[in-house]
Amino acid sequence: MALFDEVLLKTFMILLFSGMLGLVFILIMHILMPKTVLKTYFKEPYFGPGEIAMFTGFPFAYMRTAMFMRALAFPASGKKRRVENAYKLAPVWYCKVSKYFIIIYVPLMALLLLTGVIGFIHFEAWKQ
Amino acid sequence: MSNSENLYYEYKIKNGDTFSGIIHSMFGHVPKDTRYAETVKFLLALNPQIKNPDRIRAGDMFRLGVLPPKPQTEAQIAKVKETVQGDQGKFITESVSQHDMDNFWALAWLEHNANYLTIPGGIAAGASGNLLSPGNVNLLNEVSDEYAKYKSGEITKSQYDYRRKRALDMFKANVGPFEQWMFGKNTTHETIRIARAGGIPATANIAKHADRLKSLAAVSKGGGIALMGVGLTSACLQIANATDIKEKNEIFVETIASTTVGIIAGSLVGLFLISNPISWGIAIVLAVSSTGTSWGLGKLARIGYDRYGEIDFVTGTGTDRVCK
Repeated sequence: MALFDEVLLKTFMILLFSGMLGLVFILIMHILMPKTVLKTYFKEPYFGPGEIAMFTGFPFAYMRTAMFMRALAFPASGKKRRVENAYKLAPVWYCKVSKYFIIIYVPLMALLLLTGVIGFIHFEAWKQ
Repeated sequence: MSNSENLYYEYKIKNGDTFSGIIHSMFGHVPKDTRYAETVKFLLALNPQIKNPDRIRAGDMFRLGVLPPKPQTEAQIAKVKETVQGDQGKFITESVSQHDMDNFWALAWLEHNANYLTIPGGIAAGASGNLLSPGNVNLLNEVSDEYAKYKSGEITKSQYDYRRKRALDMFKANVGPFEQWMFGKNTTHETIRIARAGGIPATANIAKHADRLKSLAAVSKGGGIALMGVGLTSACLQIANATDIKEKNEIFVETIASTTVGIIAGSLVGLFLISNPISWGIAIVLAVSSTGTSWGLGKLARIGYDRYGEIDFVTGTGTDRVCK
């Protein structure tokens, strides 16, 4: 049982740390986001006025970056908002890096959530 | 989007309404105002079915329009009358069910009152921002556009009724069961009557709605920042009050972990939002889930540090010098 506890907690902490690194990466991609993409698509009618206000500036602009990273990496994901052609305005490397990042990041964070929930219940963390 | 000269909206006369009372509540004019007489002529031109303004009946339909900023000439008022008669004097809403009318009025209420929506705590900061999806705003614009197309003769009345019903049904589905909670005890019809007392036609209302959504989002954003500040301040106070360095580090780790998880949750929501306009219900679920998850995983991180942590983060980062 002690081994299980150790593996669970250490896995959780490693995944948490990788999540932190992922956020740093998103920050870098935020800085490198092509301005033409934002200028062309981060406006009405692709985004509502509320979303534009919400996702501009600190602290929620990184969510906008995550949105566009997915739209650039997987153009079909932007179909509902009609941004499926946004990838044409971004460098190929940016789209590819976004794609590989999302492919790695999402499963890792799903695993973080899973280990977190298991650990939360196992250790009765709500009693802390 | 539409020719505002031809645009008006329809109002069902209620018990107790008088012609002068309607002018006052919709336009703010009383008989001694300089534009009162012009308003009377304008409304009578819009409503040729009214022979005697002192004898309006509850249940009758009544057209209301935007009074142009400059006083109108007799020729301009005559033109308004021609336009109405060109529509064969028929009211759109006469053949529409009460259910549909309530839906449409609900939209006008929402745009008028969006900035008064109050949801407590962190849920508000997440939910109200998520609600403002392009899908919901576009539905409102769609209703307005279809109305303008109908008035300009581009589509038939039955086409307009069908498209409006479709858009309203979608909007109501997006808003979901929280609609009743938002509207409170008043029926939507009554609240819309209050909301529309400004005498503004539908298209201008929807344009104003967009501005209000924007300011609501700005408030949400501010709420999020404030809550983050409260959380960090609280952690700093706890660190200051803790006597044991290990406890200080546990608090530090818990705070950093929960903040990080919250930000990670936000990034995952961002990945989701690009392809999914969401409704009230999902917005609140996402916000609550993010808040709950970051709290829970913060606690777990604290347990992890308690068992295996050896690094003195608090001293190393200088947090103990700040939080004392």
